Amino acid sequence: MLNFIKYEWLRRWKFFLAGILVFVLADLDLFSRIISQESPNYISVILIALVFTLSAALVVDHLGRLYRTLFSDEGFTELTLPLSGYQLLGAKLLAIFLECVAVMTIVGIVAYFDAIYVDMIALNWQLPSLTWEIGLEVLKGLGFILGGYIIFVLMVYLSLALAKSIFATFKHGILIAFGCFIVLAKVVDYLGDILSVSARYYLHGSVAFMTTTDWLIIIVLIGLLFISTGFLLNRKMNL
Amino acid sequence: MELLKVNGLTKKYLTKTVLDNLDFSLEEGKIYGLLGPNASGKTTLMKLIAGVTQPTAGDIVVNGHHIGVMTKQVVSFLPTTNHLPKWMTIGRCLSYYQDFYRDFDLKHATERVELMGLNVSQKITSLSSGMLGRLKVVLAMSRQARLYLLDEPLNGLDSISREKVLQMILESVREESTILISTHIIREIESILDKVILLKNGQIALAGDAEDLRLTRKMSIEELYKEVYENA
Repeated sequence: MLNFIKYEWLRRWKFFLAGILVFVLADLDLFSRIISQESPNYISVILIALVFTLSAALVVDHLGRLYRTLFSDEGFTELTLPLSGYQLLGAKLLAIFLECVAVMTIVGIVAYFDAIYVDMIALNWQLPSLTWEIGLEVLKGLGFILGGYIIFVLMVYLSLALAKSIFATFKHGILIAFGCFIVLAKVVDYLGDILSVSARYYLHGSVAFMTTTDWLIIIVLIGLLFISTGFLLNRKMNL
Repeated sequence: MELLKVNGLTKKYLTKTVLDNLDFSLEEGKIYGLLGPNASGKTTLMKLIAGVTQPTAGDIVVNGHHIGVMTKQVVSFLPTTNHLPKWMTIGRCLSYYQDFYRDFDLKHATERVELMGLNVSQKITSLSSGMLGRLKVVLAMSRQARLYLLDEPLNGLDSISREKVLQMILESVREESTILISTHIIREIESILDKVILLKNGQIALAGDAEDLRLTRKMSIEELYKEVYENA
């Protein structure tokens, strides 16, 4: 399983490094312009556009990882490895989780250094001290966003797995997968009442109002989607 | 000793039956030729044994286990398509196989890569179809597997490469391993086959010992093939 994560990283570390470099450059450019009260020029626009493009590419890549396995010839390599469907899916998700954590950490570090610099040069502004309560609140917020993102990725994965298992004999696999995703979104909405969790989060602007049940719903949804997709990968694939 | 047992194996796609109630077994230490024209069900049967496709009915037992992680540990599958990740170099492919398969012999594989006129620094995307075919065979045959499934291993290879690939296949046969080669190119492969299974419309049209068939029918396997499929 760890080997699988290793190859997921080896495949895209250059892309990841490029993303970090562009983000840091964009931050430096914008920050220096704000400090010197200059207007952003075309370089700033290009850098920001690149940051958004690379972020979108990362999300598309996350969703495409199982697509490549199921809809391209690479599936013959991955699905004949001595790994169960659960291990394969777990490795893919763990790699995505680690990448998301890495992105959040890098963004956090850059923002922190920006704040320290502002604290040094701005006379009428003071960096608020970081307390445990604030730290916990931030972590809960990031956990909520990450949980929602993993649910979204798993919904796409389950749709793809359905298209290549139960509906594999039908033509237009992608259309079927899209149909499955729409149905799944409705089911997840109904089962988990995830929208009320989101509403509670956004209305109060704080995760402190999220109950243990809300977190439990997120975990149960992830578990259900993982087990269903893993089962299909394990027993029902038709490449 | 029996290494693979197939019972009542059927595979249907909506209304089309690709494999129809197949029953056969493979013994250890033999090279089997799975012969048949295009769309006779050879690739589907290979994919079912490899575990990438599921049967509609029936079951497959390899080395005492139903298809799953345990059988994937002992089955080395070479598909017809280019299944190797495009971003890799040949060297990275070798590491990949070594990391995932305990039975992969890296030293042997590296030697074979050189023998086949390939270079470990070459990227998969830069390989010609002949080079790719040779690499796929090197990777599949460098495992100390119990069962090798080679789906059209000679496709796209020139005559010299074919000779080298056949030589490599012969060198890889061990007492406890079995090779199942699917092909519709009989002439060059006939001499290495111990047994043959001829598929026709998803059913076994003929199966048996290659030498016995040659003697009883008084014709080569290629001629026998033409006789079986002349109206197909």
